[in-house]
Amino acid sequence: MGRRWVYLVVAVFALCLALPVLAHKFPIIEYTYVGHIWEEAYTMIPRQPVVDENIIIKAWVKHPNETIEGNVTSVFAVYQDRTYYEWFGGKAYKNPDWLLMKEAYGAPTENHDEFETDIVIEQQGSYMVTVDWYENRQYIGQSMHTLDIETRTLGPMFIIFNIVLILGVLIGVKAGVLT
Amino acid sequence: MSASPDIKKELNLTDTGHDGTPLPAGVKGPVKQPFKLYPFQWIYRVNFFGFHPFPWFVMVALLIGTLPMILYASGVPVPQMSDMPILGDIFKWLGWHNDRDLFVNATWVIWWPAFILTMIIFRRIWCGGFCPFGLLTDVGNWVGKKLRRGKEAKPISVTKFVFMAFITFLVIGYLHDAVNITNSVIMSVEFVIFFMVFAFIVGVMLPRRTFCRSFCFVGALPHLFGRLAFLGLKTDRNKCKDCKGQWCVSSTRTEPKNVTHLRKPLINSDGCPMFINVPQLGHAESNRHCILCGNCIKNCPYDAIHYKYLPPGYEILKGTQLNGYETFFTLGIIAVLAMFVALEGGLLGTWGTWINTFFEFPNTKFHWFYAGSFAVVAVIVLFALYFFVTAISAAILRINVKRALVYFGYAYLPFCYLMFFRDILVVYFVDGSFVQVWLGQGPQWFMAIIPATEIFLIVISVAWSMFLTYRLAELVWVHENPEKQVEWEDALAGAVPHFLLIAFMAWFWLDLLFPHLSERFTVVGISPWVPVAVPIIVVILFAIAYWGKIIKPLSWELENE
Repeated sequence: MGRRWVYLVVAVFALCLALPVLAHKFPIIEYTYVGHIWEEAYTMIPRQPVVDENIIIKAWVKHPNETIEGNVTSVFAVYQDRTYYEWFGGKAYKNPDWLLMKEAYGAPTENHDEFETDIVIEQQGSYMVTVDWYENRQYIGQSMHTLDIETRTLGPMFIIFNIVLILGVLIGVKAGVLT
Repeated sequence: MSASPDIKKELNLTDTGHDGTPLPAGVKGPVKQPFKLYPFQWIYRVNFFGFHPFPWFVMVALLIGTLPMILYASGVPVPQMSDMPILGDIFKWLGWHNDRDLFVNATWVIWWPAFILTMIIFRRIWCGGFCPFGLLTDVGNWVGKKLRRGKEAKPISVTKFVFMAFITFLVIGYLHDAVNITNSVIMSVEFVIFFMVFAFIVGVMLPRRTFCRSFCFVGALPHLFGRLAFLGLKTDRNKCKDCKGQWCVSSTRTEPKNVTHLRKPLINSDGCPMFINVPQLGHAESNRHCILCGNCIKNCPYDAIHYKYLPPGYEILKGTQLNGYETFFTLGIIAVLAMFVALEGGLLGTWGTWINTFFEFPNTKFHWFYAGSFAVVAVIVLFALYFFVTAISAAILRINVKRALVYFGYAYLPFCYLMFFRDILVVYFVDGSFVQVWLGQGPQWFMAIIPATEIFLIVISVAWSMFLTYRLAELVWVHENPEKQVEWEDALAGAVPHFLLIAFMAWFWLDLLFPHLSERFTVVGISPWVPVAVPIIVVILFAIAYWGKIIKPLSWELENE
């Protein structure tokens, strides 16, 4: 065997670093084109928002070719995305399930055509934010954005696993197994 | 015959050792180092009642400074640093509202870019002087020794396992960026905590800094890019001839006996934590593993080891310990970087759409698969191209293909490093950070700073890589034909296939990152020719100065050996 267990140590290390990454939601930013509206929306925080945190959601309307000059209003809606997928016969079937958490007019900010609202979310998960845009009370389109809310604490599995790993190595060295 | 007083004065030689004791006749005294720009040596010689505060002091301070942020971000109810009177005001001015913001910004916006930037100058100084993970390895060593009742752990073959850090970097680097954990505090915290645990347990199981040399994926980067660094250690081999102990490597707990002390050795410090062959350091032994901890300087009674500024790529141009691991790691990083550029340039979206026609993945949560499959294909394509152009180069130069495969890979190192730095600069330092907010508040031309810097880095990296290709073609030819003189036309012809591959990579980067190059600059009132012309002029001026022998950065050391 020699000291080939060293390979095992590295494999365990890489796997363990991968596990928390795969266990969490992937914070992917999605951009969608809806009608003529080029949409961009993001939270004011450059990191993933967490539960029980006052999240400011900002969105602005921008036309790719022409300037929007009328009186713009926006309606923000935040949904909890409980959509799940079923695999049957090698194909994925989508079961959409959106639960409305909040709906409000966006408050205009100092910047032109930019609106914001805020929300506190108490549960970890995937959320969807839609913004309906109106120009002179005329509906002009909708922008959509996913919002992943993450937990704030370390998982019990993570803590237990690390403690077991440290104790295992210390006992192994003391017993002369890991020399 | 001893030197005359005038010569002694000129050479700064003395008749006494560092401790003031007279030296035997014929023995040269220590060369007094005039003050230079690398005043690190004296830091390592600080002896405070037998305790050497640097670099432990810095490492402990960094670890303690990081803990409150980690604890708060982990959900432990500790007082927030950002709520403190003056500190909190500074954080809020920077746009950080709580310790979660502080943790993310301190880790990804400040530390990570600073780390990448410093390694081109100071190579692995982070590992030896600042790294909290290194500190935990040292603590693990101490605990392991206690558990073994004073015995050190058995070492593993450091040369055999050295490639493992490269592999872990590529695996974790992919996982890290393909799923974008830098935006997630809890994932970043778990990542850091687990890394600390791993550093500690490897420290318990294996001696000294085996962790840093063979396992640390963060250390794998300065190991590789340190090949281009300016600062390194060099041993005066003449002073090592009569050395009886090699205390620089092995360390000593007592003052060496029967040794002519040119300087007082600092006892009670460990030997080389990285198991480097210090007597050959800077000659046959590369500086790539050196963490600049200074233990060898402290231990050497002959004052034989000194910091030196080396020309960038000095060891590559000398052909010191070139190996296939580093070559393929370089190409592997370039392939992973190509994945990020494809993501930035929108090519990954097209790739994902194409993949979906075969697999019908339900949603964008499968981004990791699109990114991973693209990276695998990029690795295969890049390696295939590299083998192909190297085979042509070997045929032109009439040299061994295997040797050419090892040597020419180093030519891509400048491109790899500078594109890595570009990625970190844009994705970590600017995008979505407080830096972007600051740039947005300035005059309009501020928005041109980042794209202009990117273009500058691309042009410089291509020029540097091409220059290195030419020099490596000369080197590999000389190593194959030791008794002959290489003609510059032959070396240039052998380098041309690699020039084409480097140009192809530069085109890939430029095309994806700047599809509307002129618009990016004209919109802020700058001619698009300016950001392209400036680096080209810099390269031309450098070439004139180099070949006109106005500057001789590469001839300093090479011609003397």
